[in-house]
Amino acid sequence: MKRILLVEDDDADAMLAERAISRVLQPTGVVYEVIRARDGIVACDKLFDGEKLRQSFDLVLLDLHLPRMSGIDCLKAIRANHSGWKLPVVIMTTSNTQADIEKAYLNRTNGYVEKPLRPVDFNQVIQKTFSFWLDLNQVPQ
Amino acid sequence: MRSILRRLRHRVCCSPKDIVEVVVVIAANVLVGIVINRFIVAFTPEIILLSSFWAAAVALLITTLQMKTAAAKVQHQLVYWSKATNDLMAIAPLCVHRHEIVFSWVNEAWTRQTGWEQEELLQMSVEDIIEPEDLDKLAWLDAVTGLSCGTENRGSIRCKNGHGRIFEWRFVKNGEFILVCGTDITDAMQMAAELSRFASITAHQLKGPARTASALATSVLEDYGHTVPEPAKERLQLISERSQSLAETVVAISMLTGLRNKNVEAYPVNIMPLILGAAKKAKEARAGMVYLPSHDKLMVMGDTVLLGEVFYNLIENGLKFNQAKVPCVSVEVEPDDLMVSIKFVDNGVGIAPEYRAQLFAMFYRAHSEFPGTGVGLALAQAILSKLDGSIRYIPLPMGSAFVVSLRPSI
Repeated sequence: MKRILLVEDDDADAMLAERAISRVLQPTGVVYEVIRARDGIVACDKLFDGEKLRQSFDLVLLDLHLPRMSGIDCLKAIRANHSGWKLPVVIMTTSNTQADIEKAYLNRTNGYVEKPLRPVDFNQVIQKTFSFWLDLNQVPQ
Repeated sequence: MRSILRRLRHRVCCSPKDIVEVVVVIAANVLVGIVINRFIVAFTPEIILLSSFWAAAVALLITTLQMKTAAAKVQHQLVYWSKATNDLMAIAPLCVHRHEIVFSWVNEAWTRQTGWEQEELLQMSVEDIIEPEDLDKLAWLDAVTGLSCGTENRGSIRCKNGHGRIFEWRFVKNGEFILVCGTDITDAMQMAAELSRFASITAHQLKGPARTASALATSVLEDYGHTVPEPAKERLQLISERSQSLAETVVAISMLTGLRNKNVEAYPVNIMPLILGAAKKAKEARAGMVYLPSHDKLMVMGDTVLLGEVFYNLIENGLKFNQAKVPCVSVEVEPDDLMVSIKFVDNGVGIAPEYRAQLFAMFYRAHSEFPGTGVGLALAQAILSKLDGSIRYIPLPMGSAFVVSLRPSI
């Protein structure tokens, strides 16, 4: 089973992201589960128990503008944790400014996609991300 | 020596034109002396030379007095005005080169704003007063001498001793003088920067919900379209289009506001992937064909995000304002040593001659029968202007062509 952590505070955007995921994954027969976190702190709680991974995820879709802990801070926290530095994280945001894109890549995001998430964009994301993790590396357990 | 001459010229308050006049007077006197000596009276060469120099001295004195009177008149007016303002004001004799401009009068505001005493300032050239990092911005000052009277040249430059304050300088040619006025615009610039930040945050906050609303309406049509009655479908389609249009307008306004308040640093960019990406995005939004150039790599001085926006706007416009059976946009590139031209040719409806003058104006729409926001071309022009490039419209018998010119990367 593929597990996706969707970190998104807006219900409408979360609904559209889940729709995009189902549109892409359902026809392939992949069994998946989307677990939602509404901000960076909740996301970190779902991911880590101290230095250990609480539960494994195959992909983290992370919004940049979140309450309490921003997407960039959450990404930094994920990468700072020994168990999280290999986790596939894709930034998902409405901002397409060069500064935001650079900041996301400087903090080692695996990809960048514009919101609201469309099936075609999600398809590209998983094509790129999974081909890297499944063909070249193994997702950490 | 150059410094002594500069000071001397400053002291006698004369311009290069006056020096030429004095030299002409000396030469004319020598010539007259020689003629008198030859044909009328036998003067010695010493007498001829002496009388020539006396005549020159009198001419110089008269010129200086005329200048001093004119300067005093202007100075009197400036003293009157400078009491009511905190602007830095000064007078300098007209010079050919900017490094030779030395003030002959400065107002009291200089001491208040910069800390320099008035006597100190009279010994300094304009270049001594300007922050070294801003010296290259003074290049336009060389053009002041070429201006006709009353016209002015202006620019924002920091004053070296101005405690980090930024002044907008105006250099106005007035007869044989340059009138200088410096207005403190530090607060205004800070406000403009804050406004830009506010516009950027607001745009982000508005853009997200508008895009989401558009995507939600589209998702309803896609998922439940078969059960929705036709009138409801039309309305959902309108919600989707209008929300998308609102999001695009907000993005364009945010980009325009940002562009006006910041300097864009151009860097070497390969435009081919950008054209490819823009064409792909435009084809997702509109039906039609896009013919791309065969080059793999073409480097220009630009900015990836901004040029991507320009190319997308031009390709999407070509497909949108189009009633052909198969809307087509052809992109052609013409590399050159001086400028790289990128031509976007479409088989669309074209633009009527009476609407072409305002084509690049903000919110201007030349067609009522097609959807649009009227910001795309205004944004493209603003972006290209910031990148030292340009855009022009070429009418075609069947369609339109827009030519984007950019500096090649060295």
